[in-house]
Amino acid sequence: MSNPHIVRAFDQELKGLTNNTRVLGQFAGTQFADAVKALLHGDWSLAQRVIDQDRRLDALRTELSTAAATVIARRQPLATDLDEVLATFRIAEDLERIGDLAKNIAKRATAVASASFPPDIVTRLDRLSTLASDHLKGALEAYLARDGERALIVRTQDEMIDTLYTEIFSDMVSRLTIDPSQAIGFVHLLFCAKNIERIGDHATHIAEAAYLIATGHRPGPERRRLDESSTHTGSPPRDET
Amino acid sequence: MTEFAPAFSPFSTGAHKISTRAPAKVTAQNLSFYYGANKTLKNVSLIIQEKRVTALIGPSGCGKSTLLRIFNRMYAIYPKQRAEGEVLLDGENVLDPRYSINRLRTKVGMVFQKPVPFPMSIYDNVAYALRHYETLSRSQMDHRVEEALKSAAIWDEVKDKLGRSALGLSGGQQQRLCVARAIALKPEVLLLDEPTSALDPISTAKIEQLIDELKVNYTVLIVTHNMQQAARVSEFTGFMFLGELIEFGVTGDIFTRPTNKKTEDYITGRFG
Repeated sequence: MSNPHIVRAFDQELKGLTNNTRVLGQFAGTQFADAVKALLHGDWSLAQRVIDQDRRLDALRTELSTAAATVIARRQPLATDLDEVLATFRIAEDLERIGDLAKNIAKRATAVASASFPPDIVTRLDRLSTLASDHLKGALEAYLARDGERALIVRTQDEMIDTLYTEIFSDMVSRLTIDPSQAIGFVHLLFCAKNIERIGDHATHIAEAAYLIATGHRPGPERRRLDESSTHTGSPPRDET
Repeated sequence: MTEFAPAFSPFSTGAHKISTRAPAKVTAQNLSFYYGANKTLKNVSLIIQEKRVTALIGPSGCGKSTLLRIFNRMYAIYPKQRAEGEVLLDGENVLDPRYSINRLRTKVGMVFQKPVPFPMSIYDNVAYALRHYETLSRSQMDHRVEEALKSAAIWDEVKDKLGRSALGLSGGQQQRLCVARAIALKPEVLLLDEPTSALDPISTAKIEQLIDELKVNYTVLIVTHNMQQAARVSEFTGFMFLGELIEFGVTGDIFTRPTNKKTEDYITGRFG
């Protein structure tokens, strides 16, 4: 742990940025959890609440970014202090995007509120969202604890999310061709699955920012991206042929 | 759960950083100042709130140090200098010749740009004014000297060498000694005229931390060329130009949304 600044107000401002990032992170995480719950349980009013609360999350993000800009203007931070303040900008942006993606899931939840889906799809979406939620939680904890090792571990967990998302994508595409009457519902679910996978990516960005703050270095090498949906041709996966 | 910690308020909404409005400690009303026939301050009016830090910024020659020095009638020793208007300290006009200048100097302390310790011991630097204004026993004097040095955040560095010459201290220490000397008499107002412009960054940081601590007990008016310093240490800022107070307000608002174009041009480095 580094020595405190001579001007104590500087430490208080940096601590304020960290605390408020934690609050924003908790809020984004709750929005995500509620959106998925609304989707999987057909809870229209919960979905609407997520949609309405997104404005508040956006406002908090703006407040946090402004506070970080203030620290730069007043304190002219250098070295690790500068890394820390710049990380606040990055993380705030990722958390806001997570909020937007949660809102999108909630919107789609209102569109499919009356539909019922095969239990195995619900289970896999639930699993996907649990992975992404744990991923986000782990990334935020690594940031708060300034734990570089934890941040690296969290970073690699994104692969599980990508892999599961690719499976869900393949499965959905198959079902669409088998049962076109459920197309609308499956398409909405597909978008939701993609949104959850993107939330995982943003959580990974947060873990990378946490690693930078903790160690002063960027994590390397380039992480593996196992989301293969963008190259899916519609043919069955190789291991099924 | 979705509320940010109330202790931390964003700079851009500086108005709510100051949770309560403090009473006026010093009020300048229609203040003008002359060096001979040359009018260098033009009808300046402002309110300095109690136990807040107010900063004055502006280009060289704008009148900010001149304004500062009116508040303790420093100009009085120069026959060709005069002030017009009023400076009310707790409602009393200190520019009135009937207001004792000695009484004024016990209420308003000053620290200058260049540290100017007296050529005597550290102890005697602080005790000098106390001996002049008060009758204290030896133990009482020791206590007041220690208190002043502690309040100026220099006690730990000098407590074992109070008998040594103040001239042997570093620049930053000398400046903190000057602060101790200024607050030894327990004034109500502290005037700081570019107190850190001659100091290194670490000493500057120590003085800024000191200002943060002093404002609990003192009303502080600081002149500074360093805009970031003004933004860091003050709750209120006044921008001066060519002897006029162009804009005055909450520091956060002055530095993010100034209402006057001259202020904007100055703080963004477009002139000055």
